[in-house]
Amino acid sequence: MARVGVVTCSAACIPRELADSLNISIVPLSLIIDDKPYMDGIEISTDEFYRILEEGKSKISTSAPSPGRYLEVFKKIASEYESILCLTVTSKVSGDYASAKYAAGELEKKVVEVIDSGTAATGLGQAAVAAARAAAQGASFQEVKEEAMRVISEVRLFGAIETFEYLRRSGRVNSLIAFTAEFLNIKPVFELYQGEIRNTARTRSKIRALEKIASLARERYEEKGPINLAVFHATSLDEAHFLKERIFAQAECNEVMIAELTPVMGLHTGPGLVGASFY
Amino acid sequence: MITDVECILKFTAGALDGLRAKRQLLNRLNVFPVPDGDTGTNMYLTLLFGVVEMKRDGSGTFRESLRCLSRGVIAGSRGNSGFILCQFIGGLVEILSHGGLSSERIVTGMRKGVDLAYGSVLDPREGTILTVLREMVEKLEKEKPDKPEDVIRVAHKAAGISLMRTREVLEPLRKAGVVDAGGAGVVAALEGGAEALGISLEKIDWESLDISFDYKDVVAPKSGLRFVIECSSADLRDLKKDIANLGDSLIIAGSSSPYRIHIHTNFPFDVVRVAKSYGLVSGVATSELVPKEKINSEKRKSTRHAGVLSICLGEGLASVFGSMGVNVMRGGPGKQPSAAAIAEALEEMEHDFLIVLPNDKDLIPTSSMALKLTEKNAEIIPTRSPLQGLAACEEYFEDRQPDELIERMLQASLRVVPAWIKVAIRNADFGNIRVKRGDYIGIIEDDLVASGDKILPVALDTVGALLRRKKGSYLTLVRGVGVSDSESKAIDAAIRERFDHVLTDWVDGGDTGCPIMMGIE
Repeated sequence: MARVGVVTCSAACIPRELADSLNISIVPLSLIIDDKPYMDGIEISTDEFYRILEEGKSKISTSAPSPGRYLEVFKKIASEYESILCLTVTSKVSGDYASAKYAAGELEKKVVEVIDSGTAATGLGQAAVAAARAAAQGASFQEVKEEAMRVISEVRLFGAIETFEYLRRSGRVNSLIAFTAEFLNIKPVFELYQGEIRNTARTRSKIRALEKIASLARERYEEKGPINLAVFHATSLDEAHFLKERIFAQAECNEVMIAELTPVMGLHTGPGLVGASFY
Repeated sequence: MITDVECILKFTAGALDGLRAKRQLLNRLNVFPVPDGDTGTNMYLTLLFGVVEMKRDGSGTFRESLRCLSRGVIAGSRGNSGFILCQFIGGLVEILSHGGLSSERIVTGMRKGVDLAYGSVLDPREGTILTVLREMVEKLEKEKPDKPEDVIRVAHKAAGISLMRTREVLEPLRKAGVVDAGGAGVVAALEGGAEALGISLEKIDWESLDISFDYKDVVAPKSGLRFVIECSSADLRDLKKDIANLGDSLIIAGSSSPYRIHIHTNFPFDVVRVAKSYGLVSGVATSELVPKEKINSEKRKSTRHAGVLSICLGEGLASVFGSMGVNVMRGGPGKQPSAAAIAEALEEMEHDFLIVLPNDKDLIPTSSMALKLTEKNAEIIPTRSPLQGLAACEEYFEDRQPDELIERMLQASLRVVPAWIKVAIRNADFGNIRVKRGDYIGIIEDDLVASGDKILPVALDTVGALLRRKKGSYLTLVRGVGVSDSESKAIDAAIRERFDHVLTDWVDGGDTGCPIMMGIE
């Protein structure tokens, strides 16, 4: 029996093949379009979702997975592993952690530990991938957990968005910040830091914004050596590749993952978001 | 065994940490000459600029590192103690750069530093940072320690003893029961530097020094007095001598009559009376100097809004700055605003805290002077080019705390190495480069790096030289008037072809006074 199973949610934006190859169990968040629930990244394609979003006719909201959905996954893999490590989206913006925690309590006679990652998107994804790799090499529960915690504490996630409109609507960012950015015609760069959206820089163009993220990656590289990179985007693959190239030009990378944001994440940021996480 | 360069880098970075850790305490101690509660911050920022410049220098040579340190502290120096610290470092660096680190040279350098510091102050007062530095050096000259680490130990001990005495020597300190803030900064820096080098020493008892007191009981609040006087330059010299005794922080702005005078004084009426005997006085204004610590503690409850004043030429450049949410004032090469005009622009801004971006080497001293002419709480980030200014503005968020904001904007500005393509105004011979009037010339720092009668090859050579100075990959170019759209497109294509890893970003600057300005980062 394999020792440690790794579980995370769809907001980690781990590409499907990668999750499958590392046996990471993904619990989908819910997307509710005109009162009809869809499982994030499974029941609705990303393209379809953004089409609906930009059309603007439908009422869209999101919700964390129910404890029941987590319990279902835990039960399903309980027979395959000695213990389970579950990494969730920052509890500051989602009920994900609470659901998983509740479900873990329901599962008897099994070690299930739920960790609030404090991050999201590829920041969470990279932690889950690192933990799953350690698990695949036969590491103990403690070692797998330590690997996840190491990435969580070291990973930094930055994004550049086209417009603050969506973040403002989602209530994840102060509306004054959003207003100023639109009013001044600047492209802000933000950091997701300990569960909160934090201003990093205000730049005069999208390219400058991406360059800023690249320079932050370079600083990390100069400080600590080769980085593990993940680039994410919402309907902006070209810009994601541009960002990747700019980072490659300035920093040595051990590995790179390119991830498209799942609809739930994309709803909060809007199309046009491009960013990177690295540790 | 660590090299001299590593040693000096470690020591200064450690000294900076020492000042950073004690900065708030030093601010609270600040009673003399003006109890404005900023000594710690001033000394910290002064040294910060030096350390940042050193880190930015990639040469790895001892001399060049020292030169950067000295240049940085000059650019960053602020406040009385910061200025004295800057002079002291300047003297020390001058001696050290003639050879490596040795105990003897360090002591000789410190002596040079003390002499420079004393010489630079109009009215040196004992019981201040000056005394602490002087007594420290005297002890070193007497004991002549063999090893450099013992120099630090002896210096720290002597400075500590001298510091304790300051509260007996200087009346305002005695009344307040505090030691001199600047002197305490010297001790804090030595402790930080020693720690970074792993030199053990017995730290002074900081807790016992830290007392809060009510400023009002100690020193009568001085007024900031400003006025304009029309008089001859000979009369101005005499006036300066007469009123220097009536106050401090005397600043005279203007290179010809009318002059603007600014002084901190307890006797505003006497100053004006004396001034009237020399010429026509107008525009008299006074303002109460409220200790900054008090303002801060009252305002801290609400958000502190920071504003930025960026000085530049050219419609396009001004609108780019404007779109980033900063105030813009026109000025630059050939159209220099006066210190008074900058001060006025600052007065008109309604933020609680202001940052000035001179964006031109020659405007840095003028801007420093402008800060003395206004009672606004303001600081300078010494940007030498609008491109450094633009980079700094990317860090500008009005709700950031002043210290954090300054540090981030400064670091951002220093990541950009600027260059200019100008038009030669006369024939000149620079040894290997000969320049004809009307030629294009490429300039980096103060060096001529390219010249010729066609702009494209000059631009390419300048970019090449720029990339040798800094291995950057993002080049921002500001197109001025006189460069056509097709010319800039050709230059852009040529740059991309020759330097394929460089990303170019053009800004239409308008009449910036310069065909092309650029910056690599």
